[in-house]
Amino acid sequence: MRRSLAISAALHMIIILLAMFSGQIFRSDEARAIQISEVELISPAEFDAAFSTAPEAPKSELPSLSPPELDGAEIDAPDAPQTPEKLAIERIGADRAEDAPRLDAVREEPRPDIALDVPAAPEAPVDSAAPEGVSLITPRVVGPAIPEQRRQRPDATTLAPESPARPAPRISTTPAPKPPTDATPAEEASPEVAPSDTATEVAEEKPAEAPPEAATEIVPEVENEPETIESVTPLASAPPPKRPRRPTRTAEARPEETRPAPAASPNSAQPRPSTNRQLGPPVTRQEKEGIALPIRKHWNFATLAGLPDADSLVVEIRLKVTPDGRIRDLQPYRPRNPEGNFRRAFDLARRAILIAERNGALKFPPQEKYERWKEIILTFDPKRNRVGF
Amino acid sequence: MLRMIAAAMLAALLLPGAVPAQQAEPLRITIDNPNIEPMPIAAPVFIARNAKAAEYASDLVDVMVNDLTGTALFRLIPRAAYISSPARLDATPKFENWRAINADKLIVGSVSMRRGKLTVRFRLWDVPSGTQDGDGLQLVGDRKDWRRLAHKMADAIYSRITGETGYFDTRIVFVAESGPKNRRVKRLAIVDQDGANLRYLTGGNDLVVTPRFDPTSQRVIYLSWATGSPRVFLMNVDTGQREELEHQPGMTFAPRFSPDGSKVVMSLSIGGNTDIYVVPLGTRQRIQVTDSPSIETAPCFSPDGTQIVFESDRSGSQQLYVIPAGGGEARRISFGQGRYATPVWSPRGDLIAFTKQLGGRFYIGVMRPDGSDERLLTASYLDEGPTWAPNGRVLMFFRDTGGAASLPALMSVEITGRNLRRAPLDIPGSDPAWSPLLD
Repeated sequence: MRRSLAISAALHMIIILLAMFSGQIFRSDEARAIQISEVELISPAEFDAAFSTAPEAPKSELPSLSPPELDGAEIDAPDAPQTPEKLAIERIGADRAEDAPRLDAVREEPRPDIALDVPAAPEAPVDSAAPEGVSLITPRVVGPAIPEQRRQRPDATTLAPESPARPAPRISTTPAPKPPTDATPAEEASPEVAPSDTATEVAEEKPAEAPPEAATEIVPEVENEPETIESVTPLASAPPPKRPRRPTRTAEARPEETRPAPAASPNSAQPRPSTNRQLGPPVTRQEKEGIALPIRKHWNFATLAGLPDADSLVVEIRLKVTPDGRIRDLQPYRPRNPEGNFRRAFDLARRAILIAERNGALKFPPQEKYERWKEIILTFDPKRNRVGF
Repeated sequence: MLRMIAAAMLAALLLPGAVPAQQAEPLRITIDNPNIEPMPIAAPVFIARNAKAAEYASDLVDVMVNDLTGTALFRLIPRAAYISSPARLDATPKFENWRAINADKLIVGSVSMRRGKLTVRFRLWDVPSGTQDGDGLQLVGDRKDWRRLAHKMADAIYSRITGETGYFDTRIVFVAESGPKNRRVKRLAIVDQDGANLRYLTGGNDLVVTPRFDPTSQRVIYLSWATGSPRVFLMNVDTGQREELEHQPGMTFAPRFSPDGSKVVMSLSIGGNTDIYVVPLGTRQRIQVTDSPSIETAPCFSPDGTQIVFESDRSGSQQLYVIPAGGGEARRISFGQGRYATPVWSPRGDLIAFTKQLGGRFYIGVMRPDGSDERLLTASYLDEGPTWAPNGRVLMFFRDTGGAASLPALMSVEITGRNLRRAPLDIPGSDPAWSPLLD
């Protein structure tokens, strides 16, 4: 026992000595990887001088500055004084342009009335007095009622951008169908599908490119495709959706209505004045974003951001929307009569709404919820983080 | 009887349709976090109403657009993209053509010249709504002042869109610097805010610093070593006439006008102690405002003239204080880290700009007059000497990047912290002071 203890102690001692003096056992790879570089110490002033450009300072051209080359006599003498003259300023508002449109709420395009029985759509009228090129005037067509389907969904050949599909409601109001039975394993294993070497068509990924701001020459499409004008422009304001008829009250029906209707009640098929059934399911957050996002995209607050009271310029706008998603009325809601900077804030908000609508970017909730979104109050709150540190 | 009434009420409640149909509340949506980006504007070349005016038709618009786009609040849509060009000033524009290129505002104008006088007429149109933005304006001036006509137009458009007065028909007085640091030549100079019409007000023999504009006229007050010691001088920049403010014992420095231009506040050092004094320009009799063994300097009136902000080391480090203009108890307003200097009260009274030194770097910042809401807008090796545009929205200061060969340059920044840029000036300069709007 003592002998084995002595052997063990001796072996441990040998290992410890090897580790201490040879350094081969516990040397780490990190220690081997350390490289020593010479560094140069600089003063704080030199460091600041090297990194003295302020954050976001655009195109500092300070090194390119050069003192003016003046001879001694020129430096000693100041320049001759100059007195600025007073300029006369007059308003020419009294003679506002005679044909300047005065719009109250929503922009109103000048559209000639054209009957539907005209064989061919006329060309867009051009103001002969002002040769400004051809304008994209869209005629308004008056005629028989247009089928609801056509009014709501223009043809694929129209010029208007097709609005993307509406997002599905987050919570479905109908129960999901029964899931299919569990899949069973096939008797024979299918071979793994591999990309074919003989494939000839390879879709190249193209880098995304922003469209140019504008072409140097724009040919109005009205001239080329006059026949599609009908389908481009919403032909007429769609009537409001039909309200569900009130159930006919009969002597037999009354007792049924006074108590909760069972699922198999014969009256359950008729529309009842239940709140949810009249108004449809609530508008989801995602559906609200379908309206808010495109408007926010065009809401530019730069011109008012520097005002001392910029954060308080909250305006509310009330919209009335047709079932097919056209804004038929746009009015200030709070304040009712915006003035001064509130008027400017209102103008910026209205601009964002109009551009979003013009681009066809507004995505309204589904039709069954129309009663809920036929009137919308948009609150424009400009609070945001300021730049600075 | 009661039973019958109760039964009738119950029946009325239970009858379908007795209650009005449920009306939905308007859908409410909040939109926040707006974009801050330049507004796209279109500005076709003005219509020349006669041949003599043709040479100004393009230049007028270019100077005006340069003013507007220099704020970074606007950007010009290139003229090559325009679909049409207005032929008459009084015709309603074809808004479709301007919407097609995403213009938000359209500026249409005409220019004519008769007997050496230029007449400029212009209208501003809001393209998305298809309405005229305010009334049209007509400006008349000598043809040599055509740049000022353009600045006036830019002021009117800026004011119409932003709700604030413009600052384009203004000038900057500053210290033009040249030569190496050990033999630096400093001359008083004045230039239009867009860098045009540079003119020197003093020769290079006398050292000059800290010029300040009278907020009500085209007078400048500055510090000069012309008499061998630092003294405060007054100068009319239009006539070139100058005079020493006072010749009494003591060293005077850091002068600044009162808002009504009738007084000057400055520091006076007597017997090694520096305090703040107000000197009415009528009587030239000093009125002592502070009385402290510490160093009080860099005073500046509030826009209503009732208070003075200044820097003092009475607490042991350089900090900002506010005191009634007639004297009294000073109130410290800066409590952040570092040292605060050169406070300047905004013309609209809502902010005080200052220079801050912290950790070997200099910053330009703003805070409210009570010291709250401090924000630093710039940082550099040396940023110093802020001055306000007359509308209180833009700050100008000077920056030196350090080094033996470096020369200072004038910079400007919006109080939102955006649009930090070098002033459009070809020569080095320091100590800028913004003039009020010209008549």
